[in-house]
Amino acid sequence: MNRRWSLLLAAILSIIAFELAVLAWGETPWSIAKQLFAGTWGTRYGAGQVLFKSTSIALAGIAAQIALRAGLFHLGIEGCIAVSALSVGAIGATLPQTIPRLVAWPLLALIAAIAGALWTLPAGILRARFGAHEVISGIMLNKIAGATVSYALVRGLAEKASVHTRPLPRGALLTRFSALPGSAANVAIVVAVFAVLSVAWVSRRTVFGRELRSIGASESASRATGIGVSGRMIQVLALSGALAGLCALNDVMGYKGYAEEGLGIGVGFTGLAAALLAGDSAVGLFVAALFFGTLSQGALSINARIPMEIVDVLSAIVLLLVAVAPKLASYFESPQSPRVAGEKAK
Amino acid sequence: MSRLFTLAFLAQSLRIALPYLAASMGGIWSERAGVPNVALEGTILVSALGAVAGTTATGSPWIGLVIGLCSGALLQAIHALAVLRGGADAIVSGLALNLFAAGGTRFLLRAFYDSSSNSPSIPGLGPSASSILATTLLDPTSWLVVLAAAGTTLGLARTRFGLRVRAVGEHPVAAASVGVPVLATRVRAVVLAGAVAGLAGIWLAFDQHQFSSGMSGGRGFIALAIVVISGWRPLPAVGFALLFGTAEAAQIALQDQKVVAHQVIQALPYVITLVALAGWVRRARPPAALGKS
Repeated sequence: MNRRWSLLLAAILSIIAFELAVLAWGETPWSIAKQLFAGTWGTRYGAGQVLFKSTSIALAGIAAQIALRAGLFHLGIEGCIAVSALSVGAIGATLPQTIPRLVAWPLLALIAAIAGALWTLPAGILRARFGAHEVISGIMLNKIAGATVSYALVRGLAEKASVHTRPLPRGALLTRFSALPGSAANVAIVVAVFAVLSVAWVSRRTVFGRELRSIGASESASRATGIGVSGRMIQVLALSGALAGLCALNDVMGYKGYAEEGLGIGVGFTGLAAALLAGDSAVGLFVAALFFGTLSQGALSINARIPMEIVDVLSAIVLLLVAVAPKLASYFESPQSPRVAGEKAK
Repeated sequence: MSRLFTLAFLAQSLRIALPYLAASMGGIWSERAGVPNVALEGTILVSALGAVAGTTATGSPWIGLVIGLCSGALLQAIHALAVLRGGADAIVSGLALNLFAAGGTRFLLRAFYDSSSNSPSIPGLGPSASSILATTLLDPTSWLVVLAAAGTTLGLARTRFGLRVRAVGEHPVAAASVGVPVLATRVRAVVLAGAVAGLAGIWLAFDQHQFSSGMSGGRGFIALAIVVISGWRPLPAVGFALLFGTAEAAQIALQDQKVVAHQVIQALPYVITLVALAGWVRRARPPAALGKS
């Protein structure tokens, strides 16, 4: 109940912040909001683009969510996407032109997942063996991934006189939806929905999921009850990386048809934001992914009237407000337990 | 290799190292007080824009400098408020503020100067000499960075405030029990961190004589890496800032010889950080109460 109220409070405050920023620019908030809607859900193309962007956000979001369940902030998602995209692009380009879809799709999906999972190993091992904070190692791995992808492309993986890998064979490209003409929406959305639902099932209905929750609640208590905390941490980060890696399906196989630098930049962060918004819920994650997908596509449609960066500012404010909302909401509740001075040293 | 033994090379190393130095000193103040700070990148951006906006508005780079310091401090004040009073997770708050700064500065760039890439050019504080050495050494902002580094080193070790910062970062309950105001000390340290890290942005803005979109270019994250590798201690941080500055300068000087790819130099601080996290230096231990309230 408390969480629902605090989300509502955050939503109201975010809308106020949005209106103030738009008014300060000298535009009318309602008409900007209408234009944002018209540019996204108003046309088939816009809706398709929203779905395309939401697909990556949902995959990055479920990657962040499963790690959060074990109390881990997986910030390395962006690096996993970059490395997976490069692996899919580079290996996919070597497949024969005549390869059937039923072979190419699962093969490349497997490669994407493995590449993403492997890229988290340093973070997982550092966290499990040395207690090094996964936030720091995640940020470092993102930066190293960016440099690695750039290096690999320059030193041979890129097609001659270009900055991207050779195009994938036809059979490796994912089908787009003809009902959403011109947009990049593709069948990767099915993968995203399936991934979110099955991870939700795993975390609720399996021993593995139960142990993750236990670790998230208390690492030392979990260790005392005999849970292999170190192993579970490495595993959950690898799972998170594998899920993040699936973004390569959407970006490389569904949209670009090749891999290049900068794929997935920003998606890792938006995914984390969506996961924080959604909390424990799978349905919430879909809603949050659509919300951020709508914002990022809508930004393009309002750019002529107001700088599209207002959407980044708005996302940041939403995230910050969601983070402080529980405390804010508690001020509105009737004070039940009087605070003892120094009860909680801060 | 003779290109590495010139004064210009020395100056170039220093030029690259100075923003790292300022930003990592800011990071140390915040994290030693127990408040994790991944918002250094955003702090650099807002203070750079603050310095440029202040200069173009008033015509005086000195006023620009002050406004730049205040902008950095203000962004970190939001961080302090959200984390220490609002109960927000410090990582979430830091990431949100980075996004806020990246989007907000581009928004304001268009609002102030009607451009999506850069501001009009501004005079810096230093003289416009032809050699990099002269412009770097004669720029008062450079000396402010050096002063900030010296102040952080001495201030953290030798002053009452520094002692209190370390105390609330290691064991807030013990600090509170001897009468140290934990919350106030942390807020002050974080706001100070904003001003100090802001120097990096101001230095960049004056060095490039303009604000350009995303001009922090990942320096805040390199600074974060430096904070971790140096074990949250100012003196080693100075050393690592200089080391990374020299490495980058060497890569630029030897660019056409292709001795090392620039991506290798680029990734160097991050790789060293990963190694350091694996207990490379036993003393590289975070403040005990980092991220705990």
